[in-house]
Amino acid sequence: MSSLTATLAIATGALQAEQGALSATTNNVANANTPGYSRLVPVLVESDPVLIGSIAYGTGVSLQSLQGIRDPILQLRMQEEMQQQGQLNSFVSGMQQVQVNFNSNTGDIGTQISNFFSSLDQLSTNPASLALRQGVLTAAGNLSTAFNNTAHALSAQQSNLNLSVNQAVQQINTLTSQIAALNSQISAAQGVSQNASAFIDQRDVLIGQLSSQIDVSEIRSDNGITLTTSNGTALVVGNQSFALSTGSTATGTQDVFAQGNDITSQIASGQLAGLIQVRDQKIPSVLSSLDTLASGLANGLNAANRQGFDLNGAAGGNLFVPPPASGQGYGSSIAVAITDPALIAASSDGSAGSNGNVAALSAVGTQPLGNAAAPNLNQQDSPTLAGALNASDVLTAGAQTSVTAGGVTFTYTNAATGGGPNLNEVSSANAVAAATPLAAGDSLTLTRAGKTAIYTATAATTVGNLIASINRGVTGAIPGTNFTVSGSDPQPAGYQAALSGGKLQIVDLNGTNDLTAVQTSGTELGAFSPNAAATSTLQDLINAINSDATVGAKAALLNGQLEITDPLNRGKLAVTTTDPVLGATGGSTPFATPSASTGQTPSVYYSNIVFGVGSDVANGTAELTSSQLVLQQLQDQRNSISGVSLDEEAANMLQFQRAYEAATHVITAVDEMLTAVLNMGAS
Amino acid sequence: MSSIRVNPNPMPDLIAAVEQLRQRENTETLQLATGSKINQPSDDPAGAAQLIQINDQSSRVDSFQRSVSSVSGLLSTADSTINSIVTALQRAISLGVEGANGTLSDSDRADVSAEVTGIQQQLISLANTSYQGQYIFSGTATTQPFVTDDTVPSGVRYAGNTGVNHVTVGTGYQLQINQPGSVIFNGPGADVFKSISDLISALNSNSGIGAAVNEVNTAYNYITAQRVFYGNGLNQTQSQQTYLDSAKLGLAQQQNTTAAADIASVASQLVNNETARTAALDAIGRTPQTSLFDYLK
Repeated sequence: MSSLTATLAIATGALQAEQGALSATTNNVANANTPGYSRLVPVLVESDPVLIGSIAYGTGVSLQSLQGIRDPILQLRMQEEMQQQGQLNSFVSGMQQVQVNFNSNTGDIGTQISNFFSSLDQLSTNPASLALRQGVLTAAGNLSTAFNNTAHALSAQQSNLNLSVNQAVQQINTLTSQIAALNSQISAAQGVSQNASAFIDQRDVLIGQLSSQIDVSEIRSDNGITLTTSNGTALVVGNQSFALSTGSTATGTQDVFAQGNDITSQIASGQLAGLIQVRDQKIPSVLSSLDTLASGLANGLNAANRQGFDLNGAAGGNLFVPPPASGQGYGSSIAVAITDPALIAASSDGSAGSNGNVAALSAVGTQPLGNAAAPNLNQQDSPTLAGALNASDVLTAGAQTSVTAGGVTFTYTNAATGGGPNLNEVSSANAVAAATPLAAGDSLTLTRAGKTAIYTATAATTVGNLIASINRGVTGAIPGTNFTVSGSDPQPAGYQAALSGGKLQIVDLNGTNDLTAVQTSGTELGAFSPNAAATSTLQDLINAINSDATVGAKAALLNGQLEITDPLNRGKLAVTTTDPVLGATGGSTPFATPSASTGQTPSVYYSNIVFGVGSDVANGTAELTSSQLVLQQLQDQRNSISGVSLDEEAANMLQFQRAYEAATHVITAVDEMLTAVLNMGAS
Repeated sequence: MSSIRVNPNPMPDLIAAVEQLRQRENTETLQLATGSKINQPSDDPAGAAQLIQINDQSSRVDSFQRSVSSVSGLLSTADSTINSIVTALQRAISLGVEGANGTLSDSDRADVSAEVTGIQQQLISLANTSYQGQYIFSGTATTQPFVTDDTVPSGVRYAGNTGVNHVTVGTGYQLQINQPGSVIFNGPGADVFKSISDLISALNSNSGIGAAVNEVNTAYNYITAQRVFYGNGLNQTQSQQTYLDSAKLGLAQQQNTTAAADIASVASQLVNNETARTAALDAIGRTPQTSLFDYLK
């Protein structure tokens, strides 16, 4: 039989156990709104019974522990989802910033491309108008600015992302050192069988925060947990944490290092991964598309402009500063090369009012990008001669320039040796005045393209009379003059005669190259020589090369250099010169190979960039929303296991309170019984 | 305890639901404010890309329309100029016929000759007509096309060139907008200035007036035929204008289909969302604020 004192001891034990259980409830109620708190459940166990005789007497209750209710698997699932969400969060917010540059407004690249080609349409209606030319130049400037602004904004965002990467790494380091500290506290508490639930809760919250920053794998072991990134980089091992660091790379981006190794490209999720993805993949890809678009437009428009003639009749130059061969970085550097609107090469025939070349410029807008290089300019293997040349540079008499392409060599001889192939005007050797007398029978023979017109004076007359005769452009007797025309040219219209610098100058208006003039009788005029011989300039050489169909080479003056190209694409083009003005052959400096065709017009190409950026944001946002829903469900699940229910706690409290009260009643009863026992002898 | 434990704190879920509804309301309000369902590329990436191309085409049609109106201004100026030239030549012909009348006195013929000389000046001035600062009969040259020059038989020399300009007035549609002055005025055997100059000479010398009148008549017939070019051009600009108007309308419709918000449906969605949000807020308000603790005495 058990003793009364043993019963008293059981009741006292019950008081302690219920009190302890009540403290768990109190703690739960107090932490009802603490994030990450796992409710405590008192673990009450029956004490070992005592066997007296054949009867086993219970020895009451004891509070074994206050157990934190948590589901480690669920916790891992939440960490994974937080990693994904962290990545999507920084990715979406980064891409939203990228997207801002591609919103449709009055200054975006797409609108500026349309505006530029519209300005060309306007120019074609009145190509000589300086106002319309200025309109084209302004539109080209706006187009450049739109490219520059967008490229600069994207580069600036990249620098900002460097800063964010640094901050994220600092935050990761803070979190890992805190987790390591908690690991040592937990193992210390568990070593002496103390309740470590509070520390575990804290650690779970910190691991959650770490998960939203970087991909974390968790390995549980006896001495706390080990955290690594998914590629195996240790972050926390037991009570030791390993800090990540950042460092600049050659390209100026901040890379992430773990113990000296660059792990930037291996970070698979978390906010850091999203930041790096936008910085190292998305923005560079958009920038490179912009470079392709800008250099494709510039190459196409430059080539088209070089095909034509400007308002002054000179061959056109580059409209935009030429892009580098790779096109890299051109989006931020594209700029208009000219400031004088007269230099826009609208003309296809050299006359100021021609708009023939505007169509070639406009075609760049409707042709596939990169294909837009002028079809008759093969820019490969083109030698470049000298530098700092002007079209008006006078070439040395007698010097020769020869151009060889496809086995055909053509030699251009300058000045004194007697004329290039492109001459359509001749001048007399002797200086004469209009009043200079000509004798009866004096005759002048003009010959071109197998036709001959012979002006014969029928009576004494003057040079002025000869000029009038040539300009009348009729056959037979010329009214009002003393000349008749004979020969095989039935209607010698198309010659124009005038006195120029004291000499009789005759121009073949039909532009035939082989005009010759001979005074067959009389010596007043002297020998005739091709006019260009007197002032053979670089422009004459360029014209001569361009008009020579045999070689088919094209020459142009670009940035002070004579560039000769082979439109027929026959491989190497060889140019040699003995002219000291042109200098030695500049070797075979290849032009940039025209960029491969993208198969898309500029406008379509741009719209595809916008589509790419837009769908990145749209897809990222959709994934983020679903990730948020998943995380919310996991949170709900966690709460349903670990969360504090006040109803439950109230019920528990009542239960513990009632048990406590009952135990006190037992003590009172035992007390009365003991009193009764003590009083037995007294009465 | 066998019952399933439920999440004791549903508040974050409710707040998230309200947040989502509010976000949707913001989007719908923006759509109503701008009238467009694509306010940033991510709203509809494919639509945004399409919109860029539609806008590009639309801006191109705008500029074609401006080109057409500028070209038709040029063409109608040229047309009416040639009309004036034709009238002047008619007058020259009747003056020539009058001058050929043998009963006319020398001084009367001198008056007729003076009037034809006036017509000659008028013709030169008409041939040098310009539109927006550009001579319309100078080919593609910008110099004055017809200059008086006593050294040539007709007294007028053509200083323009034979270039022609084309203006793009539609995708792949190029319209020739000028005829060189040499084609119009110096036709083969039908030189306007030569015929007038010959008529003046004939009147002055009172010989060959009939032949000179015939010459003017030939020039008159020739230049009348040249009017057809400008008449055709004007017709083409008119029909192109009509076409561009309808193309513009078509593009505007495409713009609408691609980007315009369906105001009625967006507005009703907005109202629905507002109702849903009010209900959600109401639910939050009604979430039991009490627990068992409140009933413990």
